[in-house]
Amino acid sequence: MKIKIIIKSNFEQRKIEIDTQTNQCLVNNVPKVINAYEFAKKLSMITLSWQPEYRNPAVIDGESFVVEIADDLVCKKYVGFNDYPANYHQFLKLIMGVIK
Amino acid sequence: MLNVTVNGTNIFDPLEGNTQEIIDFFVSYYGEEHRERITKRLNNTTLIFTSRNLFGENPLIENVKHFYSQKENFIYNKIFSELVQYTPKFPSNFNTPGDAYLVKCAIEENNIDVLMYDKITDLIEMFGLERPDCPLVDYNHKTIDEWLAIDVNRDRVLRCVNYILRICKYKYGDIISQVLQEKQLAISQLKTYDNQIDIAVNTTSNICKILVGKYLLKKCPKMQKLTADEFSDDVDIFMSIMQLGVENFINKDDFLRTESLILIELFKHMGFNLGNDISKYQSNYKLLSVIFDNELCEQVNSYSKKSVVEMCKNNPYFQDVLQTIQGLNIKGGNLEIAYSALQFVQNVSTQGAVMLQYIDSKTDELKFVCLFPDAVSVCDYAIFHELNHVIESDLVKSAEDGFVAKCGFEIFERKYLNEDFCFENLLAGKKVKGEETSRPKRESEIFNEIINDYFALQMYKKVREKGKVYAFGDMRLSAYMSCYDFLKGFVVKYEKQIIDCRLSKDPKAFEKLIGKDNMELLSISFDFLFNYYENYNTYYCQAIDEISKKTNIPSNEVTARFNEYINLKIEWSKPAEMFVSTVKTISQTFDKIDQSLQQSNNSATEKIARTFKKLKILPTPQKRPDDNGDQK
Repeated sequence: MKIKIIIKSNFEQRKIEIDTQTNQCLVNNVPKVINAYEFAKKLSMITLSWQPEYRNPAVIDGESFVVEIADDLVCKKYVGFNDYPANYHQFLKLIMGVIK
Repeated sequence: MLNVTVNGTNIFDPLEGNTQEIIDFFVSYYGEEHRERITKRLNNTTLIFTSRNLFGENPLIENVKHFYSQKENFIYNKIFSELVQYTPKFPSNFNTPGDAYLVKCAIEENNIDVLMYDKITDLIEMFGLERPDCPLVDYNHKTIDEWLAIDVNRDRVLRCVNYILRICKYKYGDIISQVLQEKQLAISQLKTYDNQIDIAVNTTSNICKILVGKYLLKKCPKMQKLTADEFSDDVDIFMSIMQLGVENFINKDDFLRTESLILIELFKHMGFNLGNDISKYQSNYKLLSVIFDNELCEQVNSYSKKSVVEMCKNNPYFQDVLQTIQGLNIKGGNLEIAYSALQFVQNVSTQGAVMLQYIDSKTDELKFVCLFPDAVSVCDYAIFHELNHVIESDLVKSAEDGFVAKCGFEIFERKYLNEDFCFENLLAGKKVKGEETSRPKRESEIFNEIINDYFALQMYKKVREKGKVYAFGDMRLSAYMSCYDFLKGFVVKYEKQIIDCRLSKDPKAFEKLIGKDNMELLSISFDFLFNYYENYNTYYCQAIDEISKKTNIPSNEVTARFNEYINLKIEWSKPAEMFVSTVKTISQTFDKIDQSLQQSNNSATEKIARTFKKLKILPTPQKRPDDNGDQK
């Protein structure tokens, strides 16, 4: 499974790339040691109920996210522009665990 | 309003009383001709500084601690530099700024001998004195006595530390204790706010988990054999399926392999072993009736709703923002803005800021709300970025059901929701949805943002030159900065025209100036550059490397004249080709615009000259101060 996550705001840009087959994780192109399968498992559960797109048109600047999860058969993409799924805080907690 | 004082400023209202000063500063940057616009818009802006509590941790507390440790170091360094300045016999070994830490230790220990003998090893480490450039590097492995015996006169050191103590006690004692008191007070206030949120979050989210856990153990007794961690994971997965809903679960045909594996594992733990095909589980009525039990769903739903309300009610940051928003006369209801604020306070991880436009229901004017993190986390650069968006905004059209506004090169269309924020609305899911407001594709968004950000940075530099600081968060590089290299020359040359277009009522003013095709090309190119930002340096280095190898020109020379070398006919590798072609497009487009603007300038000058000729009036050339008088 390959995972690509990008979170952007004016003053921050975070990119996480994970390959569960090679157990490789890159945070802003810098390798990190994590349990890729565990991460993928948690991310899959968090995103299970997500819609493909979240958008709040009223906001200028703010934060956006892109999450791409792909295996051999399925490729899923979730994007958000200043609007977020209800359990976004769980997603952030997971991401921050990898970034820190 | 929240009030936590850091450095004598309320971090939730750092610009208090400075509006006129900021207006004057903006006018000094953008030009006196824009005073009316700037004054009106900045006076119509509500700036809200708030904070965030992410997963029960408030990054603000760490930021406050960091701020005060910098401030303490500043004071100690100040004392130290006085010592160096006024003590001619001050040991030359004690002349690095890090040595100021001695002062701090001397105060805390109040015992010179203890300081010299017991603390010195720690101090060496803390000072970073083991660095090779440090004159004390060789003394690291020696005992203190050996160290002192080498070339430092112990008595002189003791005299100095004594002197430090005296100065600190009589001259800086009050300042130091004031700083420490302020720090303690700020942190304890912030901790009080955070405790309110923590209690609400933990209580409510745990209740839902306990409910589901009890239900699972009752319905699926086999799960008692699971370890606590396995069971906790299963509860989370079970809750995710509940969130997905029965229909979505039954009809879902795009499960990732990992999703299927995890779900099947859970179902097997629950006692449903139907093999490894997820579709078998999706159509099993017995399993579905366990997962989507009406009573449980209702209970969890009811507690989830309660938890949202509790979180909102117990989040002092959100309550503070809500109070401000409710005081504004927002036409079409304040739900949309309050909802954005709630997300800002609750969810958003990074330290960005947001700007929202609204119509005042009493005056029908376009007004603005800017949400920022507190003054410790945000720096003036971010504030100027948002305020630039404010002053480049104009109301294009106002109607009964919504309004159209311009922001820089872009147009926003907004439909009113006609709802005010209340918990019933929030729980009913009446938040901003894509279908309720339309957002035209923002083709020039990145291009506009990069230019805006460039101006914000120039303003930030100016304000710092003056020694003025409003918010005092650390300066951080913005994401847009990466694109400055390819824009700077043009913006510097045509700064006045760009500012006039951005501050014009006409959203198409800049497009009219540079041409529609050029505008489109620049918008697409900068969008590409920005969105590949994370690989930007890789592409850039690769392109430089390829030019250097293929032309035998040193890479530093290529870097210095990159825009010229990319026009050489080189067979690029694929990734470098994409990057080079974008940079080329930008460079060529700017050249084209440059020529066209020069021509129009020339033709305007010629036109004036022709007019003068026709009227038989020849304008007398003005003598410039640096002319030497032989002008013909």
